[in-house]
Amino acid sequence: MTASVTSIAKVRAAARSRAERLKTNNRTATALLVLGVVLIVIGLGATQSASSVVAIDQAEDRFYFFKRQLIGVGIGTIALLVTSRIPYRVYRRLALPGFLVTVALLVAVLVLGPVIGGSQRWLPVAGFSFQPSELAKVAVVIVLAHLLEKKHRLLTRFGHFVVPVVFTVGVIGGLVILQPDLGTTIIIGAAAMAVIMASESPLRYVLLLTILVVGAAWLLAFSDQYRVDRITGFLNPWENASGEGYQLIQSYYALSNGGLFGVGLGASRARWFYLPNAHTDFIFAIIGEEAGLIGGLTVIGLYVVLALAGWAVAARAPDRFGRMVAAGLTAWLTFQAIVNIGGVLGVMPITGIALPFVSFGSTALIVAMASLGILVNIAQAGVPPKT
Amino acid sequence: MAATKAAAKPDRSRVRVAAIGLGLVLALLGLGFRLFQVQVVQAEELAGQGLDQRLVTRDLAPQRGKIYDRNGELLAMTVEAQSIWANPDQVEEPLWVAQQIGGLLGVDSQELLTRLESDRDFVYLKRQVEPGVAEEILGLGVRGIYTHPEATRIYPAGSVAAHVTGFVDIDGNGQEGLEYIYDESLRGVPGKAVFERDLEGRIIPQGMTDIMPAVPGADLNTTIDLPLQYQTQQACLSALERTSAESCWVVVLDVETGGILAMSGAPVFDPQMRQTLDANCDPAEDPTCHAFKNFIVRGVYEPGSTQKLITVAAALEEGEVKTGTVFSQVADILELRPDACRSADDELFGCYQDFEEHETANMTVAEIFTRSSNVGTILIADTLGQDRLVSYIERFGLGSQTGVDYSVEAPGMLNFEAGCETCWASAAIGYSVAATPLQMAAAYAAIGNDGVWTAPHIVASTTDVDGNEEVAGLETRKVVSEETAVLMQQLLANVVDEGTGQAATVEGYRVGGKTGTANKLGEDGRYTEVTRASFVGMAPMSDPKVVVAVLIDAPSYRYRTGGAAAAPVFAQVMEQALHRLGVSPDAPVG
Repeated sequence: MTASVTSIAKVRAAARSRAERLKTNNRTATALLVLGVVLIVIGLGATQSASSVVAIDQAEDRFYFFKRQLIGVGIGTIALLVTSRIPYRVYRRLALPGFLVTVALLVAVLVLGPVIGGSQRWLPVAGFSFQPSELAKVAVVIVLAHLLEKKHRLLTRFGHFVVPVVFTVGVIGGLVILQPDLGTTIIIGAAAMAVIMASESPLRYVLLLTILVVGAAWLLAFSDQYRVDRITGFLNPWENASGEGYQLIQSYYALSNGGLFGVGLGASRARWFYLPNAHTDFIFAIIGEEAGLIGGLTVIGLYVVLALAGWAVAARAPDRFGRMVAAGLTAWLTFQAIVNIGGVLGVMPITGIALPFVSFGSTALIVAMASLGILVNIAQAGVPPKT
Repeated sequence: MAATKAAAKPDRSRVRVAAIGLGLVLALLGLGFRLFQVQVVQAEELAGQGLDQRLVTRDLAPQRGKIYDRNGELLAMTVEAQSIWANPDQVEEPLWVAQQIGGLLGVDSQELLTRLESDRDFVYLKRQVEPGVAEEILGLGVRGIYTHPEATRIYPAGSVAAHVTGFVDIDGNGQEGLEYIYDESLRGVPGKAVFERDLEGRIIPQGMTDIMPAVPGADLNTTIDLPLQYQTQQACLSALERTSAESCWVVVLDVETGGILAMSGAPVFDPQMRQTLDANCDPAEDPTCHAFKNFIVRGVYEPGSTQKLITVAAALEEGEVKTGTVFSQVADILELRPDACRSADDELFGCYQDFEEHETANMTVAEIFTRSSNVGTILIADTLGQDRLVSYIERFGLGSQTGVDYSVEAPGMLNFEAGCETCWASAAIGYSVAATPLQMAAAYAAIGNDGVWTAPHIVASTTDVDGNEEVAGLETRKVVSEETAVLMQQLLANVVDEGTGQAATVEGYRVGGKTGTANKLGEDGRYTEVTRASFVGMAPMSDPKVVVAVLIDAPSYRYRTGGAAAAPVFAQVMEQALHRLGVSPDAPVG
């Protein structure tokens, strides 16, 4: 009797907690989806505003870039719907084939990709340009998470920790840096770092690796005065106002012109050829000009929500693999936003990477939306943190 | 044990994940702060710099004022034309283009080719062509050829009013005549347009614009009568043909107001053909060029006998003589220095002869004037003495600018060197004095206007863009009494009725005037046989309304006198002037 009562209570309690759990999980998933939709809508508007002048000039169609971005949104939506429904554990089985495909694509781009602006980043596919380095960000996260999960019992041994890390990040990051695309390499490194942090590797290894990576990067960056100038150029753009500093100065002009409330949608001045890459790398400056501090803070706030939601997803992930993937994807998307906005605001070097969900660029958008779908899937499988 | 360890590990990684999340959120908050700095704290300074880089100021050219004659006929106006220019970089086949366009533009294709092959990125092919021509050129669809609108000055009356209007340069700046002297009123005030432009210079539609419109220039309402101006030009042209003179100049003055009714000359020029105008050109060397000249205002000559009006009027005014005063034994030759007429430098040094030989006779003042006796006039001047004679010459306006509203007026001069003992005598008969035709006309107008000298002028009023009319004031001064003036009018009438000016007769009107024939100085400083023949006169003598001064420069020997060369031109112009002004005839019928 008592036992049965107890068991009924247990069942009830379990049911209640499962309901609660699902509610929380759904709330997190919904938050992720909503912020994704909002960022994408803002991005579409900003893309149109920032690109229409250039679009008329280059393609005689003011919606040229908008239309292409819209196609990206369409494909990205399908990708998001698919990835949010695929149980994330499936990626463990796809990790190694996915890694090989990514490496093949990165090699292909170095062999076949046209040289545009001094670098090889795109593979022309059916009238669109496909950017394998975007795919590489997800691949690194999944492969690294898979390997660290596979070896999680051996991670206390340095060799078992460092070999998979150096192998995945080294191969993919190395291929990306050959393009050359330093910005994306940094993002890949940051995403890998987040995966490692979320793994069960001993802290001392993590710190050691961090010191090694930062040290190597430091040596690489500051070994050459030319590179030093490029990297520190953002500190005083007026020193070379018509050269290296030009883009940042124009970014400042755009943002300051926006002020508190902005000059109004479609009224940006910077887009009239003053601000290079207005619809790609510097779209945040256009948002700041047209929608003011209010608009800029809204966008930054949305990334704060992304960081918090991604953190929650990682914390509540039912297994190590899920946690590592969630942490890696969140870190990738958020860190890339920080590096992009930091460049636009002159507090970081300009690295030429896109603002996730917002900047014009189909590959980046599709990959970001697919990643968001993976996060949503992990969120829905979440368990409450043990007390 | 193992279970606890396993449970502890995820917690450890959870803390690390939280650290990542916290780090990212803090970084984002930092960016928010930086955004606040740029968009609020530093906004004013940065936005100001950004605006400065976009702002562009363009001058808005004001419409230049029009010039009208007294009846509202247009003498000068500004219209929109098209200027054709090229970017030689973009022109693919310069030779072909030069040949195609040269014909349409009326520019030598070799010259065009030179411009099309220059290494500049902007060359004019031709400025200010008619819009139709520009369309035709654009219709060829040649790459690198462009047009832009530009105002151009046109002179509907062509050469007829050219000596009045003067002209502007290709950029619309007044260069000569009214265009020069009224340049400031005519040109108006340039406006300004400030707007935001994009990096390629196009206006940003959403950008700010600040337009201060240009204020069009004022219109000039002149005293010129265009039909009379035309008749005057025609009279001059036929005079050149008849007398083979170098040039002919005529000015018609409204006696009462000093307004210039016509001011013309020949040879003529077209004010729109700037390229044929060259201040330094010598038509003798290059017959296709025209130096812009206006002898009426800028040329000085020795007025000769026409000057006698002032000498006699002065003596009458001073009470030294009356018209009936008789000078006894007036010869046709006068030596102011012993044996002056036998020396080589005859006239310069005190030998004076009448134009025609005549018997020594007693002559009245009236007779001396009518027959234009040099000797008699000098005797009359002798009653005044040099100082009083000079003061009257100056009062009548010689030796100083009349103040006419025209560019670069010559003041003329009284050539009285210190110690010159005979200059007064020369001045009495119109030598040793340099005057402009306009000064002589104004002096005669003073007599016609009952002794009141009025400054000649061309512009009666200006009308600004709002229709406000500003009337030019009249500058007048009393020169001689009305009595003296009326006496002089009678003497002038006598000259035409029975004296040297009979060719000046106008049917139906009583006319008065004076001939002048002055020998020109040669390059060696001696007088030559070549003359300047002039006639200055007025009508109708019952109440003079119009003064006409005619100067014929270097007529052939047959027409060397004022009576022969200038008086017929005077008659022709005076007749037209009287008709144009609707003056009633005052001569007895028959």
